[in-house]
Amino acid sequence: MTEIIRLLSRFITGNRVWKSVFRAESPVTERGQSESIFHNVWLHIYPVKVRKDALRFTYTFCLGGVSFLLFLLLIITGVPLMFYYVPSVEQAYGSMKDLEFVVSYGLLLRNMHRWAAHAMVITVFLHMARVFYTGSYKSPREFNWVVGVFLLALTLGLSFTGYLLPWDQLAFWAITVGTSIASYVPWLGPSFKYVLIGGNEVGQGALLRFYVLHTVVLPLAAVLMMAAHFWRIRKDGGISKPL
Amino acid sequence: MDHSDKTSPSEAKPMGRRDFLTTLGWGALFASIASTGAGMIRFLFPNVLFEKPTRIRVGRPDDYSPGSVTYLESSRVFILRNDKGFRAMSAVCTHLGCTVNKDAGSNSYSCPCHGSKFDENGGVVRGPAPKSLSTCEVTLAPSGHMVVDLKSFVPPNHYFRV
Repeated sequence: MTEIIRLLSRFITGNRVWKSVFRAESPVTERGQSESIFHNVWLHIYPVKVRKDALRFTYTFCLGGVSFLLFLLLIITGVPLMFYYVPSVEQAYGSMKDLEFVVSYGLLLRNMHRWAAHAMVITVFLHMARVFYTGSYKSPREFNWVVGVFLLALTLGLSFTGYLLPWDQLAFWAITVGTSIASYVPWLGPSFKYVLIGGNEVGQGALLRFYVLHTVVLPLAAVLMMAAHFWRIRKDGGISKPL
Repeated sequence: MDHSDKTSPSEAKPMGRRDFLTTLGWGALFASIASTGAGMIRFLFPNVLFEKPTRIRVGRPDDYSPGSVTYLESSRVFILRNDKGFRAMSAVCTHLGCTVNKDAGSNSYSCPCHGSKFDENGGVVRGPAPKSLSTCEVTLAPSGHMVVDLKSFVPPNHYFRV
């Protein structure tokens, strides 16, 4: 049996294709093991060294990580929803109902997307509270706090733009009220409302704009900001130390 | 080339060709970025809208009995008729744009979204609405139909008389 496994593993790892992907042999030294993490594009986000204190669950409650996990879940559930959802005033509500009642696993995907979105707002807020209460925003992490504030705004923006897409009464009036709030901004308010909903009232223009913001503009901005956020955690010396 | 420089160093040095072209190059780059950005922003403001018309025909004056309050749902406007004449009172709440409802059994109005209350003339009784409900201009078309302009406002004591 062990002989078969040995032959099989040699068959898989001994050929040219495998060796073109994984150039080095499996590392045996500790230095080699940390380098294999450090030099891998997918794994290099992990620090080479981790302080034992920083791993204590009650210090971070994994809130940043959970927020990121929920963001990934939102992308994984959101992209399939795009195959059925049609952002037009005639079809939006119907395609949302189709996802709930006609499409296989549509209800599951839509509800996962919805609940993950609610949860992400909560975990992002709690993550910010944790960073504040542990004083982790202090030098040298001030800039990463600012990046985090932008990410909070993007999370709320994604939440708000997604709110309109079911095109039901709740969505319509929520966006009517929300964009009216935006129009109270001095001087620029009315123009901002006009350009945000693409007209004077919430209609086809608003639905399409919110759809594009929700599925392209804001997720892309969030991914770029997250890359900067995670990179800065490493460059600022890992997550902050418990006192 | 720089003959004047050597003879009179106190005089302001004219810009050299290299500096001039460098400035021109950077200036052209930033000007093109700025104009592209301005064009992008302008692009987002639509010039043509496919929205409901804001001037609407609401029927003949005789269609409304004296003392009546009629709500026209598609235009979000109340047509009020009393002994002074007609008023077209907008049902759009002045707070955040929800539609106000006429209270059952009284002539007051309330907003379902944030609880603003208005009296029979649309004046604010209870906030958060900052302003009274707007009164839209009513005119008479040659056909004898009344026309309400939802974007043209008149003072609340202004009545349309036939």
